[in-house]
Amino acid sequence: MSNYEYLNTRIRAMYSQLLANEYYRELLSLKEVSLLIDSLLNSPYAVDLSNALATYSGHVAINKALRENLSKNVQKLLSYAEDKAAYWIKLLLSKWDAYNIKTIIRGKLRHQFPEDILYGVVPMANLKDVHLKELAEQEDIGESIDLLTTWGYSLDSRIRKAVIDFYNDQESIHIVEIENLIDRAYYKDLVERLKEKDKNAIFVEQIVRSEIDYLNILTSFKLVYDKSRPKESELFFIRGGYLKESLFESILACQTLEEASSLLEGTEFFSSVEKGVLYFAKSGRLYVMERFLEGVLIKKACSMFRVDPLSISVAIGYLWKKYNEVINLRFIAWGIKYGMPANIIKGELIFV
Amino acid sequence: MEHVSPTRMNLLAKKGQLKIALQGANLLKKKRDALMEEFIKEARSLADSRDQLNRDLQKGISVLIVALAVDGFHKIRSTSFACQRDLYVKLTEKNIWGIKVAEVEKIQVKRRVYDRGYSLVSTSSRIDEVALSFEEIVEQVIDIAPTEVKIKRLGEEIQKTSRRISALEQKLIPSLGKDIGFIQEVLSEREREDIYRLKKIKKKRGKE
Repeated sequence: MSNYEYLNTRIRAMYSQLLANEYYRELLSLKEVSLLIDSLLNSPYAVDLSNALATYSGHVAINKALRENLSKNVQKLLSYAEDKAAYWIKLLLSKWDAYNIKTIIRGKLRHQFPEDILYGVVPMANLKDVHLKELAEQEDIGESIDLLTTWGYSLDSRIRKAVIDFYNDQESIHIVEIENLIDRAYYKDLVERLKEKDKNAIFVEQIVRSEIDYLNILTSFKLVYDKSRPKESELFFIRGGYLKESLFESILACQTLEEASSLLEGTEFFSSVEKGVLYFAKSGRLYVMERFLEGVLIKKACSMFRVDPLSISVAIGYLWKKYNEVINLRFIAWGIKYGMPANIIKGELIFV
Repeated sequence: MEHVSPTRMNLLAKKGQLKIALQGANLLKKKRDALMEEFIKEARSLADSRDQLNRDLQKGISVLIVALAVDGFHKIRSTSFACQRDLYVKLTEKNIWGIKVAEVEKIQVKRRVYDRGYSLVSTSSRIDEVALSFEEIVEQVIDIAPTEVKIKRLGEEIQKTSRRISALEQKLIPSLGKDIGFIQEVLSEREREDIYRLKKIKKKRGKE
């Protein structure tokens, strides 16, 4: 049995350390990265930033500190969680494991040096630095997969076969097919683990299903924007979300994003997508629209913090708010470094 | 000039050389004009392409900054592994006034969003946009590179041709002109001497 009272008390203490929206507005008025560093040295990021400044400088140091801080906070959260609570948190973080495994496979398939592969990983979930280093340093992809299996991450036999086939004969299979197989297998496994019907499983399921919807909408929008329709478009659809595959197919049949957006009426994404379309019409860039979609997911996840004080929803809310904070700060740092106007930076931030 | 033997044979040879030198200079001038015309045409198109490339590069960098800011360096790095490929270009040789320049067949670098290798689920549209922008940039670079080399070659050839024209006009032609003048002077002097001598002999014979 998990002690949610203890866990959530600790999370609330960590939550109080998160930055307020007013603080972002203060940061937006800064014109130089050095001033941003001064300001962050008086924030909960002080220790990590001081450490990063010993090796790096400017926005690179901020980037390093943010990553380190996020990783530390996640580990801290995991150290407070027990039994089932820890299981749910690890499940929520497992997307980073999937991402890291995909990065290792990509790197290995393209014969990258281990140190180059390690630049692309984020040791935030169950696979830590040492694990990822070990995986990256294996002689070939087969050995990396075997090692993953011994650690309990058994890859589907089809994925294993596809990876080995690609590794041995790069012409016969396209790398995107492997990636699609990994994504679909990961989300299938994730959804299967959410079959329990206790309230915590329901909270996790709500956020996972919304995330799958977000990914499916984004994928379909990408294909509409690209004016392309792959032969086996169903391979790009991830099952397990609220949205049906038929909607995905209907979106793919659209000629414009405006048309595609109108099909989302009745979903939780519709009102934001409607706004996003207006901004998209001005800029012509899909990522403007994506930020609106991301906003829906982030706001939904963050709002879970207040749903049930004795459940995993508090951890979900905290994790997403922390993640959003790191992205916001990173954007401010890069924006200031490259002289972006404050209103542009502000437009990219998500306030929750 | 001291080495020139003032003979009628040499005079004819030098005159022949002068004629060829003048024709050569004329031909080289025509070549230079043609090269200049080609150079200016290519330079204009290159300047336009360069401007376009700079504009696209700036756009690409601005998207890259947004992607780095939101997605982070690690995601871009990871995605780049999946995107990697070799690009092959077909070169053909073209001859412009004796200059061999390479022409590159246009190739399609831009790819469909699902053809880049990474799954659409694992990347943001910011990263797609970065990939697309830089694919367009690579396409332009492949397009511009042979023009740059061509312009460089044309420039070198124009310089070489100008030097040759100068050598002909400033050195060879005046030198041949002097030689011809010298030979003609010596020959006419000899002719006058011969006439004078003949007149003397005729006078002597007349007295006898």
